[in-house]
Amino acid sequence: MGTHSIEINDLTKMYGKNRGIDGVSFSVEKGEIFGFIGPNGAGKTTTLRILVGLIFPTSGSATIFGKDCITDGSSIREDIGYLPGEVFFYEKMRVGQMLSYSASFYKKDCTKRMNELVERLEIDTSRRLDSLSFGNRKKVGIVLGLLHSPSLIILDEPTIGLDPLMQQTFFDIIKEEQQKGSTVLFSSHILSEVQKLCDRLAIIKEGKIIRIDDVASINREAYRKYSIVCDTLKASDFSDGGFSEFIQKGNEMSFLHSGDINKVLTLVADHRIIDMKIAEPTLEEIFMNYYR
Amino acid sequence: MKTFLLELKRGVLTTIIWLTTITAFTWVYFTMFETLSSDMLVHILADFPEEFLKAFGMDTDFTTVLGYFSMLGLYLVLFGAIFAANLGLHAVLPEEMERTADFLLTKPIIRSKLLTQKILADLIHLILFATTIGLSNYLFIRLYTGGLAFEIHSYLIMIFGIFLMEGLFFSLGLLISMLVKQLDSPLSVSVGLSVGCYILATFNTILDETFLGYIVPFSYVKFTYIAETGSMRSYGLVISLIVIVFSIAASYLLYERRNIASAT
Repeated sequence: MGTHSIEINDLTKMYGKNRGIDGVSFSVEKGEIFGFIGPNGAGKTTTLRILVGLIFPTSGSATIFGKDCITDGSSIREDIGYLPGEVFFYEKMRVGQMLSYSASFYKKDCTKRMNELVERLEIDTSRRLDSLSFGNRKKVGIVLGLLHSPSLIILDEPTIGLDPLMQQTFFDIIKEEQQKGSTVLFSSHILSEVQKLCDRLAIIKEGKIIRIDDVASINREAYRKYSIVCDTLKASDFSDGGFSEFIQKGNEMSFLHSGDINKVLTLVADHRIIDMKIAEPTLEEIFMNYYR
Repeated sequence: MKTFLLELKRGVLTTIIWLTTITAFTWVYFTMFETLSSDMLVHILADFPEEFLKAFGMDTDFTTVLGYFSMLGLYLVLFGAIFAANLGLHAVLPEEMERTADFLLTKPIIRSKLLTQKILADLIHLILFATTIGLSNYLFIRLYTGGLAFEIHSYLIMIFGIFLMEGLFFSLGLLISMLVKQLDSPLSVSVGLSVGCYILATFNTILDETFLGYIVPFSYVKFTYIAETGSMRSYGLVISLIVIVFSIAASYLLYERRNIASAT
């Protein structure tokens, strides 16, 4: 077995004439937490649903643990934990019934891990599922995804509906799973989450992967965020290449610039500057560059 | 196995409601045997146009047990078909519409095995339906027809006819559910399909057996024909079995590669 947990090769999915994803390729190494970032509708969910066997690709291939996602789907899923963005249950069941129904599909005995998680997330297993609040449903979803101690965890926008405290607990659990040797594929449109948790990430836009890189190196990129207050500077002074995210409000303006800092300083040197700040941009702001 | 039991349990209430209603209906019908099988009714019906009688299954000999049962049988077959088509449509669709398919299909299961469990659970409901109808009507015949003799063999063929039509409409319902992405009201489809076939079968009877007899399933198991000849039309049995096998096989193939739409 190679070092890859997931290998996706030129994966394409068309919904009739509509694009789902187009030639997506990336691989996730064993033991890493891999972020999958993109705006809504970019194709994150489509990609993940192919991996867990809910939909079938138009062309291309995907392997998990070296086995084909389609032909070996059922044996692969023995070892995958999947947590979709919104969790749906058999509403008339009680939490405990749902959990043991889920556990019954796996060859291994899941009781111990299941009870640990239930205790940790403070879930009342005697409640009926249709009486649960959104946050509590989410918690049950987490247990459902993890109760069989999967070696690959696939999370599709998992933090929606979790309060900050729960979110922290959730991240802790995910990190512990990683330390135990699990691989995690984590999709999100919120970069700060990914920044906090992931080692590497892929950015998807309109069905195509536009970048795959370390989170650290994306952070390090020589973008600077400038905020200038000045009465005489105009937007047109910043029109040549290298400037992006230009925003002007009255005499205040802000923009991103990658490259030589002196170029900006020369440009503003002849003007009377009231205030000027140079800062590292947040990942969000870097990220916006890819969206345009 | 757990899915099978869950599936079996899921439909129990619906099946009980169907069977209770139908049994009550047949009970009422048989309590009128003495009145309806009298000469009086024969005289009244003689004045009706033949087409009208045929349309409502009244072109039968009300003075014999099976003749009397034949008119009711027309409706029992129809109810059985609606019930079965509905079961077929509900085998996988609700799971997808309520999005629990996201849960179930990401488990280490093979889809064809899952479908088998669901079909077997539904088969038990179909058998339960036909058996209950068979037994309850037999009881009512014994209770209300004053010990008139009748051909039990033909009666059993009639009940088998109900079961065969159930199988046929179940498999058609299942196939339809595999061909659509989602269905907002499965009941209207199953009623539409069954009643549509019923109307065509009626035309066929009125027009004195045309080519429609080969196409419309209900004509295969026409009760008045069974009462007269003691057997069902053999081409009907063959065609039914072919359609059932084809629909089920096609459903397996389609389900194996079916895309489960996501919530968002």
